[in-house]
Formats: sequence, structure tokens, C-alpha cells
Amino acid sequence: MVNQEKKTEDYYGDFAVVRVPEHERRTMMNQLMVFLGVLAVWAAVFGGASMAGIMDAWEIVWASVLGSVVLGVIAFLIGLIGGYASVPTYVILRHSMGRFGSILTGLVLSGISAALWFSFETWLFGVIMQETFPNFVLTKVEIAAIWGGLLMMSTALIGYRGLSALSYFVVPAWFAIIPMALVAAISVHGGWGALLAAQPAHHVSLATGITFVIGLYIVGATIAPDVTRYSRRPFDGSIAWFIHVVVFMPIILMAGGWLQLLVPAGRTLVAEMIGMGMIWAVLLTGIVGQWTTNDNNLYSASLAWVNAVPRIKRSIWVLILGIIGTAVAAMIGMGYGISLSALLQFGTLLGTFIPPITGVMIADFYLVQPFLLNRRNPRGRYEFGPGTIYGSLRWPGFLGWILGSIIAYYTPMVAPQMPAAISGLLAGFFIHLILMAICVAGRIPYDAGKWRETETGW
Amino acid sequence: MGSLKRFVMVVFSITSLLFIIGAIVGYVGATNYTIHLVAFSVAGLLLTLASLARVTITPEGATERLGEVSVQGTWIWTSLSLVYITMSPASIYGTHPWALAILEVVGFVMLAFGAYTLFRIKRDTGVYLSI
Repeated sequence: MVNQEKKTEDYYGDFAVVRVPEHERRTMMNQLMVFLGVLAVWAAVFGGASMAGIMDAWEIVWASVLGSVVLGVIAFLIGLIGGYASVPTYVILRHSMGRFGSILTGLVLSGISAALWFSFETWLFGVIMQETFPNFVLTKVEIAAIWGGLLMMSTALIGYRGLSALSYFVVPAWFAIIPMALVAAISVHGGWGALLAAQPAHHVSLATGITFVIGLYIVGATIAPDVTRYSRRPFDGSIAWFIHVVVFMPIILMAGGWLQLLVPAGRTLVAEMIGMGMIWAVLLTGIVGQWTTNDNNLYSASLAWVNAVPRIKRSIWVLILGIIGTAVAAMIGMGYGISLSALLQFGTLLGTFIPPITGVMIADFYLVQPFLLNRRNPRGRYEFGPGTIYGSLRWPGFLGWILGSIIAYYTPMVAPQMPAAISGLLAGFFIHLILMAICVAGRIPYDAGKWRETETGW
Repeated sequence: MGSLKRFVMVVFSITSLLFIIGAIVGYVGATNYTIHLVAFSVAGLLLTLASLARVTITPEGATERLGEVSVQGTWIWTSLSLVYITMSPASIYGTHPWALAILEVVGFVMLAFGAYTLFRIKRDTGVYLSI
């Protein structure tokens, strides 16, 4: 029977490798809040600010809106897979990459890169605290990184319930405060006339701007199923993602970009808000905004590690990754030999390898499974549960990822005008599709080895 | 009408009143950028009224549905109470001390009221607070 739920115990916690049961699924509003919680972070505003160096006010609007629409469509497709499958991204990957392929790609996608970003965001949290309150012991970068890291670990430890309750509490206020602060700051710096007249140091094409916006959030789009698996109806999470990115992401980017057009380089909306006496608002948006984003990083990283290593529960992974990440953030703050730029370079490098995974996932669910493997019904397209047989390595998908990553890596050197995120995504998509078509037509085995799912879902 | 539904409707009505107070005090008590506090309060009022409408049209006996829409609406205005608490003291608004005091009271009352309402709804309906 299609989509019959096999009886599986939730050994690892928070349904890390098993389907989310019907009674635990959440509303569309809930998922919208969780997604918005990820977006509600100063780093996103700073991302928007960097657009001001290459675009004017209207170009920022167009690039933000169009880039967000592209992201919305990509993540709608990915999120819908989670809505149908009701399992995290890394478990979904078992079908397109094979069991070992899902382990490796899951670790690149979240297990390592999201854990690195957890460290970076925790350090950034410390920096914002020190900038806001420079004369307190508790707000020194390394000290704030420690208590900030612990806060972020707390909700990740609780799991999805923790993430979503905190997001409900924070998101409406965050999205009221930032536009209020932006409008006030624009007025202070000459008003809308000055904004529309402001010109960047250099101009780039709209396509480059759109690419920049896509690159900011493509990783978030790929791991959307970590949240959309909680959908009551398959489309709920995808619609929530689309709304959050198309309606709200441009607001954040414009907040950063518009302000940066009016103020000297390096002066951020945080500094402007402090200058306008909005210290408590900075503290609120800094602490809880960073919190609602970074707990998601840790949460997704823990899900990826559960899929990769047997017998260790998700909460233990949160503790392991959280403590290491917090310690690294504090050591960066103290200047103890850990290079922040090396960390960021490694994180960015891993980010290059992620869009091909997105391409493979989309090709597999929407074309390979229904039209090559004849699994037309989307609800039963991916089966999970004890006894399910996966390939140990589905080599067309895995090769699609490897070759797509190589293409994405060399794209900036060979074709600088082509966005690496897009070239990687398209390469992964087509390589997987074409190799699977050849395998099916030529009766060539596309799985190397077999893997049987255990009673605990591993 | 069930007691829980009546309770939620009363709470949402009082919250609407608090947003109206916030709008009036923001208009009278702030010396710069008055429109900000007024616009925020009106937006909060509209969202609360929309939540009240959802609660009102929820059929009698649909306890879980009532719990869900009540929790979602309550989260929104509870969160917005943080805006009164953190933004009213901003020096750019030049809020008079008496107006600032009222806006802070409005914010903290909404926050406390929201926390109580959430736990009351959870106790009476059993729905998740993270629904």
C-alpha cells in the first residue's frame, strides 16, 4: 500500500531518521515562523548591506525580489519532497545517493558546514554583544560567545518544538523592529530622495545581483526538508518557504542595502540603531535573532550526524557539536590561534559543493523516480522504514554530485559571469538524470551494493 | 459559548484595547517619528482583530482547532509586546516620560498576559505551544 507508515521506534529522538508521525505534524504558520526565524538574523542584514557597493536602491529591490523568487521556486521543489517523505534531507538522500552517499553528502551539506556556521554565528554574536555593550565583562566577545552558544544549544537540544516556540516568540517583533529602524535611519540620513539619488561605487548587471542573492541562501533552500517534513499537508511547508523568502527576504536585504547606500562603508544598521538610542532593540534582535538562526544550524547538523553514525542520539550530537562549536567561537574571540578566515574559507568551499546535491535531489524526485523508475505517486515515491532496501551507493547521483562540485568549483575561473551555485545545480541535475536514463535503458545496475534499514531507522 | 472560547475572546479584546492605547499614547507622547509607534500599534491591532475573527468563527466544540488559532494569535501579540518594551525608550522618538511609562506598562502587561494565556490554552486544550 502506498505511503503505509511502517512501525518504527524513534530511537534517536525528534524523528531524526524516521517519518514524523501524523499527530506530531505542525501547521503552515508554524513552519513559516521557523523559516522566518532562520532569516531573522543580523548576518542577513549585513548580506544585504554588501549589495550597496554594487547596486543602487532600485537595483537592490529588483535583485532581491527576483533572486528571492528563484530561491523560492528551488526550495519549493526541495521542500515538497520533505512534505511528501516526512523525513529529514539526509534520509531523503538515501534514495538518490545511496546509503553511503547520503552519509557523505549529508555531512558536507550540514554535518560539517552547518556546524562551522554555528561556530561563526556564535562568534558573531559575541562581536555584536561587545559592540553594543563594550564595557561589561559578560559582553566581551569570548564570554558572550560562550553564554550565547549555550542559549543556542538549549533550543536545539529540545528539538523542533524548541525551535518553533522560540521562533513564534521572536519573529513578529523582529520583523516589526527592523523596518521601523530602517525607516528612521533613512530619514536621519536625508530621506527617500537621498536614497534614490545615492549611487554605488561600482555597478554590476542585474543577473549578477540575482546570483548574489541566490548564493546567500541556497544552502538553506537545500535543507528545507528538515522543517517541511513536519507538514500536515505536503504543500504546507513549501508554501511557507515560498512566502518567507519571496515576501520577507527582500525586506531584510533592502534594510541592509538601502541603509548602506546612505552611510559610510563599514557603518551598519546596528551602529545606526545604537546611534538612534535603540539599544534595547539591538540587544533583543541581536540575542534572539542570532539564537533563532543558529539553533537551526546546530539542529540540522545533528540530524546529519545521526544519519551518519549509528547508536548516538540526536541530543548527544547537539551537545558534542554545540560544545565544540562554542569553544571554537570563544577561542577565535580570544585570538587563540584559530584563524577565522580559514574557517570561513573552508565553509565557503563546502558551500560550493552543495548546489549539485540540490540538483540531484530535484532530478531524482521529479523526473528519475516517476518517469524512469515508474514511481508515479509522489506519496509513495520514496519508501522508508525497517527493512527498506537502499543501494549502498547510487553511483549516478553520487557522480552527479562529484562532477557538479568540480564544475561549480572551476566555474568562477572559467566563466566568471556564470554563478557557481547555478552551474553546480544544473550540472548535478543533468548528470544524474542522463546517467540514470542510460542505466535504465541499458539495464546497467545503478546501485553498488545493498543496504537494509534497521529497526531504529538507521 | 464555551468558557475557553469566551476567555480567549475577552483576552483578544483587551489586547486590542491595549494596542489602541499604544497608538494614542504614541501619537500624543512621542515628539519625533510619531507615525512609527502609531503605525506599529495599528498593525498590531489589525493582526489581533484578525485572530479574534478566526477565534469567533471557530465552531463550538472544536477544541483543538480553537486551541491552535488561539495559540497562534497569542504568540503574535505577545511577541509584538517586545516592540513596545524595546523601541519606546529609543531617544530618536523623544517620548515624554509619562508616555514612555505607559508604553512600557502596555508592553509588559501584554507580555505577562500573553504568557498566562498561552499556558491556560495549553492546559485547557492540550495543543502544543509550538503548533
